[in-house]
Amino acid sequence: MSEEKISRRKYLKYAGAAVAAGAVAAAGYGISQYYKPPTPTTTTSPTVTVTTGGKRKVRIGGTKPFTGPEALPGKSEGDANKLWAKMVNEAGGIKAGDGNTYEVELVLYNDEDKPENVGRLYEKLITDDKVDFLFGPVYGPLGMATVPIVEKYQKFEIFGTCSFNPKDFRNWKYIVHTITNGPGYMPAILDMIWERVVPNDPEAKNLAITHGDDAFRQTAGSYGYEYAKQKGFNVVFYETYHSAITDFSPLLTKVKGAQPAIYMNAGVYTDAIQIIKQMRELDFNVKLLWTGTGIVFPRAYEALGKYAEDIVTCTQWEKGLIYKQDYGPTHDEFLNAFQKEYDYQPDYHAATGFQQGLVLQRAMELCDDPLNSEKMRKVAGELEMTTFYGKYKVDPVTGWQTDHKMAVVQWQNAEKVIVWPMEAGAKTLHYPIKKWSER
Amino acid sequence: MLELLIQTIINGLFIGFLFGLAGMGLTLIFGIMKLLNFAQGPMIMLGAYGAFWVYVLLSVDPMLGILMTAIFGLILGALLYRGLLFKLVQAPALASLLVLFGVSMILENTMLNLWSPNPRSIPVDYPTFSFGLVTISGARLIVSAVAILASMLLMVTLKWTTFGRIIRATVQDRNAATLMGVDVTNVYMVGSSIGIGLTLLSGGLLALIYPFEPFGGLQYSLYSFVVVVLGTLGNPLGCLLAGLIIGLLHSFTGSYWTLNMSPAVAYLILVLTLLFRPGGLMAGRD
Repeated sequence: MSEEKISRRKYLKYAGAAVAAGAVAAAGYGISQYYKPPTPTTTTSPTVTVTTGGKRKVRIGGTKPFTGPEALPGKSEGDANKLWAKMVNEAGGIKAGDGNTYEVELVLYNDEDKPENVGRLYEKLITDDKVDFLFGPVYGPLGMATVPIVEKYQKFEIFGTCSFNPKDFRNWKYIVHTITNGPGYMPAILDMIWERVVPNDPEAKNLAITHGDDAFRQTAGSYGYEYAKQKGFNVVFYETYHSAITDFSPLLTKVKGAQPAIYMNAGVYTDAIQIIKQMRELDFNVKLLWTGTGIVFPRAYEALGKYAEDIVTCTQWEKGLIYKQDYGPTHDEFLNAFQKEYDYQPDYHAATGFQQGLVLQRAMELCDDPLNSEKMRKVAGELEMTTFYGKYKVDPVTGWQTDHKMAVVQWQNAEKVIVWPMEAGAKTLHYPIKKWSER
Repeated sequence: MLELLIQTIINGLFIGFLFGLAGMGLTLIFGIMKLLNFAQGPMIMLGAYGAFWVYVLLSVDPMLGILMTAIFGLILGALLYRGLLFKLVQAPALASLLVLFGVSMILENTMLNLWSPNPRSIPVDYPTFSFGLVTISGARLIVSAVAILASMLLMVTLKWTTFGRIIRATVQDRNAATLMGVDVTNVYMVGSSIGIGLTLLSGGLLALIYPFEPFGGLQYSLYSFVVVVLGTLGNPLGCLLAGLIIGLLHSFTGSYWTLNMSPAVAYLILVLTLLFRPGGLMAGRD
């Protein structure tokens, strides 16, 4: 009786071939995404907000990751897009600069959190669905996939929570940003420390900074590091780490050895959780701590319990953040409308989705040719306003957001408390934070 | 400086035991059935989710959840063998790779639907022990102790029990073992059961220390492959030894150079092993 066994040599051959094939496929995929324009195909049924009556219509399209790893932010931002459209239509539509009133029709597709879907769906939205304007998807790589399409078809697009490195900008002409981009994340916390902590504790100038090496973490961390030095902080430790790393103990052992007063890490949700757990394991205590943006989500508190107490993080928007606004619904009006419509509390993704709508609405009100992408982009580029979400002002040429600032929150008794900026109702900052052993 | 050195060694040993245990399930299945478990990563994540689920639903100590997950892994391994793997044992190697790749996709998407894409973690509150500037985490001590215990049990079973001799006989020559009256089908089933049980156990232990998500198994399975090749395919003791070596290298790279290079160093070791000692560290040793 014969049988086919796999030898060690064969094992190594197949394992090597599989790894090599995976690497080639990944490289090929990356290259194809970068150089090849997506081909249009028809797929998912869109979510459409249909209008009634004889008014003119403005048709707005976009994609969100309604499934996949970014499904929750996708749902938040998409729900807010839909709420904005509904509220505008219920109020009678947008009274545009050409004297006409426009009802909003929204077409949202599920991009499944895949850049390759984003490319072809945005092309479909423009060529098949004939949308007038576009709302961007949820984060940087997905947003980047829309750029060649909107620039090719010259369609005005308003980005939502897509964060970029300014070096990636390549003369984009039809895009404006709503959020603070990656370089502005850490400066919000640094400004807070400088204004609220350093005057009482000069030792707080001694910082350790680390960050992951992917696009977002690199941008947030490296710009934060430069900002800290310019501001006058003494950066006692600075290092990057591989973004796929889950065991931070070797890095944290080194950071602990540098004895910083404050430790800041530009990381994502998993980094943030991991670092706090491992700092506790190493009994590495600091006076103030930021381990990544993911700490803003309630699930971070669920994962860490009492060890999340007093941890700070930055956020684009937070419930309770009150600005002196000059346009759109108030903080309470947005909060109540969202909760009534969807029965859950809006996060910063939801607020950003609503802000996308407000920027488009205001630009149409001011534009004498409100369905013309070129003119709308020009108006949006010169627009200045403050909504419940904060300031909106972009560089007129690049569309880069310049005036929206991040807020800083701190977990206090299982609630997020706003501790920066002072003018937006900041509360007491817990400083220094409790040692791990005292919790 | 001495504290940094001691802490680096402790960190490395702790993660090394986990790497070793994760690789042990892989090496056992390969050693007995000559099957390369491409579903290793998702199975590790399944172990983590199993422990998490028991912890959340029953509000018991996570260790009980880990034990229950390991028992579930033993049953899953036997069922998987009866339902699927028995057909792959004699199938062409490429077929088994493709089928197990399919299993990994089914597992990942099932976990995605059951537990959402959000990363999860178990908020454990085990004590930390400090000796001057050197600290030892209670959670990592437990993980290491369980990993050592599981490895010892496995090695004692293989080396000094009748069942272990039967397994080794089957590994050496399936046909000769059959002629001696060994029911190789049962041996394979038990091998699959123990291998997958160990894999889920390593996942459960991992959940005590790290966050996890449905698609998070890839990095652990890649480290497992490195550990298995370095420690000699099919050799559990070699696997544990290789896990410790990779763990220490990871720790020393991070502490004395940069954590950025840690995965690269692990794969460099894989390449060097294949070039200079393709059979692994334990090649030629029983």
